[in-house]
Amino acid sequence: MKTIKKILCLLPLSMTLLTGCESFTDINNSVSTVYEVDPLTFLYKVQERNQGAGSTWTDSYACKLRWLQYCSNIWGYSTTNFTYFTSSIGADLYSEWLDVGGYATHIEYYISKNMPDDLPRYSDLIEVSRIMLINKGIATTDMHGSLAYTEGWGLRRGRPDLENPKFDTQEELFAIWDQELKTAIEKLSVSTDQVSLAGYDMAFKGDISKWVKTANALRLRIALRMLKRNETKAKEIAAEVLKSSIPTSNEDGFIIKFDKLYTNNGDWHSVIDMDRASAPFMRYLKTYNDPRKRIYFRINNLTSENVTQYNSEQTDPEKLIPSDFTQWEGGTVSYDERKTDKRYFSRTLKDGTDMRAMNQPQVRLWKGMYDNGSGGSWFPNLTYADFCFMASEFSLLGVGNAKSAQQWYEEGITASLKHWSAMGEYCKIYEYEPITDAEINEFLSQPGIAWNAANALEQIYCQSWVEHYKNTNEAWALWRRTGYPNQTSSIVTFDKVMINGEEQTVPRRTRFAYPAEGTPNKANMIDRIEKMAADAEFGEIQNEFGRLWWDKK
Amino acid sequence: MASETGVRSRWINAGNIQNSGVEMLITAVPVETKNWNWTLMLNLTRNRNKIISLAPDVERYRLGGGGADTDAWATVGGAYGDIYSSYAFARNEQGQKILNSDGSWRRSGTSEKIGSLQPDLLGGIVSTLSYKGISFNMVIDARFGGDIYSNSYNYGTSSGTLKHTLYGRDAENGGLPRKLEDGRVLNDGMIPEGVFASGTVVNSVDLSGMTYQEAYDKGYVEPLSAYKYYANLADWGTGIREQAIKKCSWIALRELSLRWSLPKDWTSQIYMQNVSVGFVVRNVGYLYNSLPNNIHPEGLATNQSSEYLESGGAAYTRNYGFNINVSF
Repeated sequence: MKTIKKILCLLPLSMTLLTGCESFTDINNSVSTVYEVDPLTFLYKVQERNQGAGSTWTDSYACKLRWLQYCSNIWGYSTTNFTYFTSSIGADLYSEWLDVGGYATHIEYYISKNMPDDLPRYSDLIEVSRIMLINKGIATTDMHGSLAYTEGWGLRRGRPDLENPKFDTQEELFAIWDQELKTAIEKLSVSTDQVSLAGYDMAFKGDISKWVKTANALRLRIALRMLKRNETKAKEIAAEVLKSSIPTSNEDGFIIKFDKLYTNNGDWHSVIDMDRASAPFMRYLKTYNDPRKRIYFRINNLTSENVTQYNSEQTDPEKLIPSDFTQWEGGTVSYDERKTDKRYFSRTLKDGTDMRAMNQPQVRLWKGMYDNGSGGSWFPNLTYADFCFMASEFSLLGVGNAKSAQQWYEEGITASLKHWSAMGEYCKIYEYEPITDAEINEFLSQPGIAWNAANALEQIYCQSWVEHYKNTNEAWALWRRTGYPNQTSSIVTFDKVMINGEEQTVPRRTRFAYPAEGTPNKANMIDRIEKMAADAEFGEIQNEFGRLWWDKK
Repeated sequence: MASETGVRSRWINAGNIQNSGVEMLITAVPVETKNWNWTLMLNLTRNRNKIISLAPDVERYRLGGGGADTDAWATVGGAYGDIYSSYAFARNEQGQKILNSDGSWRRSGTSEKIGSLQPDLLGGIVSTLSYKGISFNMVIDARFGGDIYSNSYNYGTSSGTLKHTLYGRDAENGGLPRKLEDGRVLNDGMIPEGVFASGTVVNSVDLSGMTYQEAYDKGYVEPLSAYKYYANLADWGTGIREQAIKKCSWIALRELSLRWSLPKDWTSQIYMQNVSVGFVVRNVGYLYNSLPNNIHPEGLATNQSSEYLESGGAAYTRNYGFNINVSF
């Protein structure tokens, strides 16, 4: 009896042990790790990592808003170091790129490993994520040159042999990306029986036709970058794109929209801590009575009552607010003029009212929830207006298509005004007032804005610059490619930036450095730098004024 | 890993660490009579730790823990947990500390070994003395050698909240007379130990290689204010982290306990085999602590094996307990 009892007890125990051995790899898992996910969540991560507070802070608020003279800085590390105030310029951008790629390239591997039968149904997901990655790649190579793309993220896509990835040059990247976008367009156009991206796609809610248009628009962006290096190829791409399915309205703009909680963490609001309207931008906005003025900036507190009040509180005549100051003013972009520029001065009424003349940026355009706002968050990757201006330039260069350069230009301005009006509402900005059709017509009809064939390129460039207020990476690329705006351009005119008597120049790339001893993948990192440095225009490796491949003189 | 691979790091089995040492356990029964029994157990461990190799192409690996500009490293040829900092004292060939012209210490700039978390000796004593059903138990733990980095000491030095920073504040505490620009004399002068860096010229006198004391004796320099002296030593911006590395030796009275087993004839009447009642005190106190200002030598910032940073951690807590054991 006892023996039987023993056997009965041991039997289930041994069975447990035996079955356990068979699936040891399955049970030997960390309880805190999720092993199975819906592949669509990778798309969410790809879009979520596309733009963060960190890169916005260092690259836009503290850097390109000033480099491109949209704003005058009132605070920040770059006060006396205009060009390259911290080595982290571009660093967040690079890490976002690596994150976006980590998720985007993992999708195909993940599905083929875990649900191979479903792979064909995820073709849209894979292609859309690739478009997102290429979009991020363009901004990243703009700053960093060669990137590990073809051999990148090996460990995320089942290629442990790619432990030491080589870097593709910018020239190679553009060729690969153009081809991949073409392939994506073909696949997205014919795909059937696909898993819908609707719930996870924060750009187009799963509307694949809009992704096709976006892929074409990105090809145009690449073509424009290639123009100085290979005009024939650039025009060939442009001609192909303009004949295909392209964006036709603001609805097709490649904008990622998040709810307001997206900007819950991080320094999204810092634009008002660091920047105010610059004199060059405000001069333009006032000269042409651009309706975007009230969308881009908040009206200041210099009402006649407040000015009278403020001046009556002063004993020092130097501090008085001059009578010609209005409620729309820009401050100097030059450090050396701050002490004398009365628009730059910080002033407050005794009750705490900010009486600084320079207008504040509409902070909720970056952080809708600022100051208990209920507006959403968004990031413009490639707006319809941006597309129109690119198309206008190619039309001007003789790439034939359904519209003329003038039509594209006018369409671009109209689209931009409507887009910003809509974004003002979306972000619930302060003192919001929509832009009316009458305002658009009036704006378009005045000299300087109305199409002028003799000055068309400058018009296109300056209007692109105005449009790129929140996509400063693109504004920077535009400036490097075209040299506009500048101190002699007439529509938007930049001022000299002087710091302690020295005129400042805008950098053209990151500062490179040879990898330290013991750095992983050292040989390829050296190879990367040496290949770029082979071009004389690249300059000294640590010189941020040197040029990358597409940024040819 | 290169971050372009899609991962930042990976886990690998690596490292060849050689531990050699001796462990000694002595058990003695000094007294054993019908009613009395005293047992003593003495345990001593000495371990030498050497890293033979890490991984291919890896000569050193940063371990967890640490902070305040210091790190613990595993370095081939060194031991697990050698402590390095580039904010060590810069020294000349004779080993003298180098001073800047303002009397502040020069930081090494290069990563220097400033200590090791490996103790020289660990030990323990367990003593049990019993008389009939009453037993008195004592546990002692000890550690000798090895270093700790104390943020409490460092910032206490910088802010002047620790007692040792009284030194030099006034004449009574050894402060030297120091003349201010307006002619007043304060007795809070201190002389930093070390020699001036080569090329140091103060008031057109070349002080290269001269100790501060010499320069002071010859009237070339004024003493530093005590405030400046301690700030130079321990401030976040100027301080020398090496000065807060302290030898970490201690003897802890870990436990005292008293237990009384009730006589069998009492317990058997209530159908119980054994009943004992006891009183126990844990963490009674340190019999010896090499750290200054009674800083808690075991209050480390984390529980990682390579931790050596004390940063105002949990206080030493004494526990009192009362227990009853009953078996049927």
